[in-house]
Amino acid sequence: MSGVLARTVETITGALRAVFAAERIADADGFLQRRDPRVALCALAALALGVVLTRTLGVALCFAALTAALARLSAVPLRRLFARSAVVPLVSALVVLPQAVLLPGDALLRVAGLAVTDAGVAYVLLFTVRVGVGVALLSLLVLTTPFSAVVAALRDLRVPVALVWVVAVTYRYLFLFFDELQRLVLARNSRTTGETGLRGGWRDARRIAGTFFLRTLDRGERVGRGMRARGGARPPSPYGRSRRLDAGDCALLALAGVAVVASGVMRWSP
Amino acid sequence: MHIPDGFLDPRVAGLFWLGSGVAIGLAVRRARGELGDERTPLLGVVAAGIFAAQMLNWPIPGGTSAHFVGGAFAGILLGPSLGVLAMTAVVTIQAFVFGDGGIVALGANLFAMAVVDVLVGYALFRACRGVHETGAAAIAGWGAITVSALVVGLGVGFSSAFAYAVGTTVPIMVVGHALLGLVEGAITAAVYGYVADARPDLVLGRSADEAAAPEVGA
Repeated sequence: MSGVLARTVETITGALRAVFAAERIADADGFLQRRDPRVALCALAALALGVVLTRTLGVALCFAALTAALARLSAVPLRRLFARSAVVPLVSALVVLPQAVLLPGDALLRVAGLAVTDAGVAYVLLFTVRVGVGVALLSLLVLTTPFSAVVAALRDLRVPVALVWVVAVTYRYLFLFFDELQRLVLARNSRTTGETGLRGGWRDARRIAGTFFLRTLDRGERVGRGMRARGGARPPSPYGRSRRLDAGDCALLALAGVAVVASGVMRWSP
Repeated sequence: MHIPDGFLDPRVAGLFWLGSGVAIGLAVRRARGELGDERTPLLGVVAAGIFAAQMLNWPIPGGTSAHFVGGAFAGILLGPSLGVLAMTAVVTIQAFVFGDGGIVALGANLFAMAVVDVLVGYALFRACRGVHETGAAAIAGWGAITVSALVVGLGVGFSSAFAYAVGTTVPIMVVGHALLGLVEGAITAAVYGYVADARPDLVLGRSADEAAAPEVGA
């Protein structure tokens, strides 16, 4: 394989590997996996809101501990959760790092003539932990709740049916199109020897992307004809409906509710 | 472009949810009017194609690569309402399957990438296509990314959770994405040109109903 274009196969493989790894964990028997998907979605969203609301490092660390406990109860290896969630907060920390010297406060130390302030360090730590916990909560949802269950939850939560169908059909065809694109790139690689220059790479990418979109649109037309042949007006079959909430569901909702209210009270209390 | 949780305060995140909720709601209503309930899901097939096309590595100088975002292309190919719906599906799956962005920040990500990117791309293409069609696609791709970055810069800059003010966030986001947007514009033009040459009937405004795939838009 040659050129930047050939790395598309690695990009697709990496994405698929992440999805399959997440699905393996979602199949495990854990606390979040046993929850109703509506509850998992709402509770993790509430916890994410709670951590966004906080302005105190201690409270943000409590949310981090709660996230770790939920991961532990849900058979999610903490190392995997950390690996998935570490990059974004680290980059975010680099972005806000100058605030350690820009924010006014008592000087903790001097680096190259610049005073690192206590307020600056506190802000950088709080921001990094807040972003890290937010990313970890989303990762926890991805790792413990299959997307088909999220789609079912969206339906039950009264998201417009047409939108839910579009999302469901997109997901259903996504992996087919990953495979189609991969085959196009592999076919191009098998015809190519040596390194391809920038101009040649663009010519190939244009051809592959154009052919790929034409096949995509053609597939859309064939799916439409197939639907009409099967009776026309029937929409794609929906994913399974959610069940009745159990005690664990109610406990998780209550925990998330208390956490978000407590975080809000602490934020706005004088 | 994806904003993670922690960058936006609840007020700004809420405003973005409100904006994307209204825009996507209007798009759903118009799409149902245009396509009917039973054919709207077919849009998902095209959305899946746009998502998969984002995986293609386009070479750029320096030996590195760039990726297609596709919002402007969705607007050009499908029109504003269907384009918004297609990109909503893409951004939602990016969040809940691949973990891109955040749960609270999803409203902002939808607003930037599924609403502004599509609508600005569509509007620029419509405005410029009379002069040069492929050039209009390039301007649409570039302008859509740049304006989306402006929206993200404003959101993050007005957020009390982020220490940098609008005066810092907007120039950084806009200048950076105006440069990256050149690649998006070039990719949009390249793909548009190829599709328009091969299937002129699929391209916006070239057929009577301004549709994409006939089964989707007829």
